[in-house]
Amino acid sequence: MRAKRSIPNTGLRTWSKVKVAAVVLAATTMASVTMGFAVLGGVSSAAAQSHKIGGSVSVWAEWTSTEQTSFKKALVPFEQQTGVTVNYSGKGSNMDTALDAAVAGGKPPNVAFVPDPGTLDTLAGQGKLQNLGPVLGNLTKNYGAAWNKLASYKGKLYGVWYKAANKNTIWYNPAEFQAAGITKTPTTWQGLLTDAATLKAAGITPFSLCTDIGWPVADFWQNIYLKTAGATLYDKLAAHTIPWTSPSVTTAFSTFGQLVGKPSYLVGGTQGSLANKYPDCVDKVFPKAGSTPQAAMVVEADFVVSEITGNSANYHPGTTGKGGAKCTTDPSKTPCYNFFAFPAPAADRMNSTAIQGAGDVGMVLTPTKQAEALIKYMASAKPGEIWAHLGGFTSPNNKVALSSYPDAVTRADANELVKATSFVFSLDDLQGTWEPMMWQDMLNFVKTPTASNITSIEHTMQSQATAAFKKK
Amino acid sequence: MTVVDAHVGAAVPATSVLPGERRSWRRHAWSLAFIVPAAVWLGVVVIYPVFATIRYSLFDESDTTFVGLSNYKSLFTTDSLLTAFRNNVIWVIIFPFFVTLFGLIFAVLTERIKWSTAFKTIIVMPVVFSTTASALVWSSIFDINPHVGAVNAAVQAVSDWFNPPGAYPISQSAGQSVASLASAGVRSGPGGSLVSTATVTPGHTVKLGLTGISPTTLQVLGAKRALVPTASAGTITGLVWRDFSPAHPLSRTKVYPDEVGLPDLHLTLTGTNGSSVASTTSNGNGRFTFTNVPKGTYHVSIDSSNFASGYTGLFWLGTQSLTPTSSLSQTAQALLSVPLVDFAMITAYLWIWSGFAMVLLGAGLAALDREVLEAAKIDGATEWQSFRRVTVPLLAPVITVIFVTMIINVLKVFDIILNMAPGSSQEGANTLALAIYNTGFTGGIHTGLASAIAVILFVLVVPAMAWNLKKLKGAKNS
Amino acid sequence: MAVVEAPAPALPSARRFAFRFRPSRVLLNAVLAAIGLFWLVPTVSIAIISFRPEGLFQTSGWWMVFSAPAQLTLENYKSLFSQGLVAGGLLDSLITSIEITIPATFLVTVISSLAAYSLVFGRWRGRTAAFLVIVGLMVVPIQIALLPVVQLYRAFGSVTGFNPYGTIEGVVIFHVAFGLPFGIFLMRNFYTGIPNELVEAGRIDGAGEWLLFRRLIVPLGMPAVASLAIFQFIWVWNDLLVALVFLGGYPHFPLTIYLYDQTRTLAANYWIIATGAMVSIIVPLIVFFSFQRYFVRGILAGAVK
Repeated sequence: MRAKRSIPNTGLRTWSKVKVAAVVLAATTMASVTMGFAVLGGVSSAAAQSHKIGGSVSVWAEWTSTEQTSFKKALVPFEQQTGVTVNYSGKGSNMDTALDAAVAGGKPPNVAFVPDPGTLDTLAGQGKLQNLGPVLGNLTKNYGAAWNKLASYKGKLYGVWYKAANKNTIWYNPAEFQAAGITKTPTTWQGLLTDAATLKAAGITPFSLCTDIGWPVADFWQNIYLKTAGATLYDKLAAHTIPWTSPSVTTAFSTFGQLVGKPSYLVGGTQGSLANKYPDCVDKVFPKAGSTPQAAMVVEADFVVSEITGNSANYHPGTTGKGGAKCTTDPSKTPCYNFFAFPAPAADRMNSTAIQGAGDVGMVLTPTKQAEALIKYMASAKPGEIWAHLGGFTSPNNKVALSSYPDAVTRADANELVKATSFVFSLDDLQGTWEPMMWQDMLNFVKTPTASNITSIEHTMQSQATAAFKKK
Repeated sequence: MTVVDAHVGAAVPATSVLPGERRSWRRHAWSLAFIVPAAVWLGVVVIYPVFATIRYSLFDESDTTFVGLSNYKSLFTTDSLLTAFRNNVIWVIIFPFFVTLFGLIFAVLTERIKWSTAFKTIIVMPVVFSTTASALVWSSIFDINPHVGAVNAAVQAVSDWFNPPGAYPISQSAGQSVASLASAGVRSGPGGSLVSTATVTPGHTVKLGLTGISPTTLQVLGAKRALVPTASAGTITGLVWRDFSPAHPLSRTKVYPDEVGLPDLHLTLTGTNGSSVASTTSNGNGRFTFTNVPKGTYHVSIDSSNFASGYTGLFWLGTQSLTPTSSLSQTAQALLSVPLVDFAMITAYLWIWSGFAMVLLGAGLAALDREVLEAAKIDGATEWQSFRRVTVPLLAPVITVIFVTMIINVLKVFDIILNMAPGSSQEGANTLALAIYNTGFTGGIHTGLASAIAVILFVLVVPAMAWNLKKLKGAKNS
Repeated sequence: MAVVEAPAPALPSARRFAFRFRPSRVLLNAVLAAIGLFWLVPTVSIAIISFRPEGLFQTSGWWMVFSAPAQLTLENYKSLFSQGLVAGGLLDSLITSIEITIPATFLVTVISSLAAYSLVFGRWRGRTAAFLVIVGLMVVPIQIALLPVVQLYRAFGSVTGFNPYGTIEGVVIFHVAFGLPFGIFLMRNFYTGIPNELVEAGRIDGAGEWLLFRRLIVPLGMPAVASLAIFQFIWVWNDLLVALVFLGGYPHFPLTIYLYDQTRTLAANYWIIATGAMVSIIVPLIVFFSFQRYFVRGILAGAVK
């Protein structure tokens, strides 16, 4: 506002001018203030307006039955906020096939979650995916570097991780450990074997070895390889830049043989183990009411928690030794469950902090406003927190509050996953076409865990891997 | 009654020139037209994929590079595919014959009972179930655990009557051994028993410690705190106990307060020459006594009968071979082994498909004309003769359909194997169609190798089938 | 086959049986009863598994049920029906199954009968070769045809504007194509049992091919048509893979997919398959029973010009 000039002696006219000026000033102030409010209000209402997109988005993922129900619950805030209807279709284990057919048929879903990054790479290479870097912006910081790298292809980000699995876990029945007088869980591989021997002396079978169609055995072996050879070699093996006949591979097999080669350590011996399906193998350690545990430990990823708590509502976190809650072997009383981190060989501190995990990655196949809004929502903490609270879920998203997890065990498990300094993805899920053959080779090792068989299996795996990677 | 003029039938060859040739041409056009819908449908939706498959088989997995016959080469050099081929042969030899036979027997026999619809429903029900459900229930029937699997339960009932399990069963098939139980004062003895390491004389005591005894067993047997034995003249007293203390898990030999005795163990006092002098049983505290023992040095042995496992279940769904091939090379084994699981699955598959054969043969029988059978009977033929010489030949077309369809069916068999054989048997039970599924469908759709397997399947099957058809056609005409 | 007799009475009598078992009726009944009982065991197992609490069948055999009948429960069924009989639920998927199965069955039986007529009574060269090719197509496993046909559908869509991928029609087309080889095989072999003379006589009398087909061949072939219809119905009703691949994002899905959705990821509740099987067999059993009457002899009555 300009300073008022001295006004010549014109009486009324001066006052009128002042009045006018005052009115103008007031009006302008009011106007600008109102406009300011209007602008602010307008921005927020415009923002509120832009949140409501409406329309629909089609989402495909593996999840069926109870997982489907949980996933749909996690989407509710999104649907309410944006007004977008989510059409979800669960494809179970046929997810990859259904997706391939849909892409070939020209009608893929808007968003798809797949359990292997290889599919993401293939589709990105074919140009079927939307680059998510610009869409997500700062949201990419919600994930660790290793996760983002796995969801990228040729440097560009194409995926958002949602449901993860921590495979670095061995689940044990604390009551059985107590009965064997084991007061602390083992922190080294040798300690694990010693504890197994103690359990055996107490008349408790140490392990329930899951074999199913081979993937649990592969997961187990991969843990050993990671802990004995380290993350760098692991990544090289996964990418097939070092051969399966390398000495590090043989070391891992021999180490595995220290356990698998003792049939008395496995429920049912070798033959019984080969008939041990998932989730029956978990039920042998954490049975339903009416049975008692047949073994003390099962080496599995953290998705067993939903199986355990599903067996009986009585299962609660427990520990062994002093200070642990009183745990019973009888599932109808107070049975407990817990895990300890997969141990590394004694001397190697570096490898002992590396973690193997897996997860489902979401991709956008047909870029629509609704799809982009959904993928941004999936990258936020909200959907993870909802499902985490429902149980049977671990999130790789570091913004998901640990308090969302229902108990101390799942909190510790999720914490391990998110804070991992060294993280690798489940090797078998990166192998593409020869993954089922790899699983069969692992089962072959369990059948005959001898040194000569190791050599023959390694050669077989090397030729299978070479053939598969040549065609990739 | 209308009698066909045989003269007309015989005198008119296929390509004659009758009066009204134009009508005849129209007739030809009509009858040809009848096959057009089928031809078009098949040509587009089935035949085109056949050519597409051949093309895919010559390219790599990502369908970009022409690789010629390299997919086929890797096919013939993998043991897993040789195994698949061998299994297909086993299936083809056994299954079609038996399913047709069962179907024929059932179809013929059910005609004469009043409750034939009920019987037919029972036999046909399995076809109505999805293969997945059938596979699930049959894998449960063949389950290795005698508490779960009906077959093993039946065998156990008989076997345990002859060889009952002991109080402390040790299952060798589960990798356990009696020798591993020995902890303090015992060692492995003859015939699966345990023998005291030291000798003992009357008026002294002996302690036998075992580990590896399950707490559940002890609970069931009512084991109580282990009590150290007291010596008494003229008797040999002893303690047989579980040498494991949760409070001191690594310590052996010492009898801790939290250790329990082993009840109900049968023990024998054996002399130096090995003859058994006396026997007794341990009580709830693990204490046992041999009274009125004459002078001498003895061993105490824990009888092997205590550790008899009873029947622990046969792994029907495993790949143990019925032919002795374990010493052969991998490739020879792939070609010559006959896995047990194949028979379990064939049994399940027979249960599923016999109803199908029965229904079709029932249809064939329903359409049979009885006059011919009457004529045969009038001519003096016996029941069996008229069945063999008249009925079966008249049923030949339907029998052909069943037999050929079932051969093709087992060549494509894969879902029963996928769902019934446990993971560890999948490789040994592999078939060509399952290999196609595994290489082509896991982790997305991959076409190269799977297509090569499919082409081999066609190549193997079509000539074999054409031969079969010609042969059965010829047999019918005679 | 010789002459067909006009009104043949349908009453079964001892003389008319294909094979008479002399020894005794009692023995026959006993043997068949024993076979029936054995045959029933797995069926009963499926039923029992569906009525037992989850997973119990993994730890104790079904015969344990008799010693503890209290364990039987409807839990599994409840969880299956939990979404109610509303859209997206069981009833909707039942309807979708019917939408797929009835057209597929109808088309297969009609087209197969026509083609079989042409192959047996037609007068054109190359019938045998055509027949062999068609039967040979039975070998084609559906897996290898899935991707090519999807691509075919897409190409068709880009030309005509209707892409059958993601539609019920797309599923039906595929099922019909893969049902035809067996259907034609069965009908054709059945028709070879019908004497050529009948057709010739008809032709001489001036009847057209269509009339001959409709009035003469079809009634004679009813037992075969009934069997074909039953099995085709069952196979399409029980199919999972084709529907899963071809329906894509279609909002409705058949019963098989609905039940598949009830098994948890990693199949942790696979006993639900038994429950699903029990629910799923109701409609096919109804179809089976309603087609039973075509197997009774006597249908041949009236097959006269």
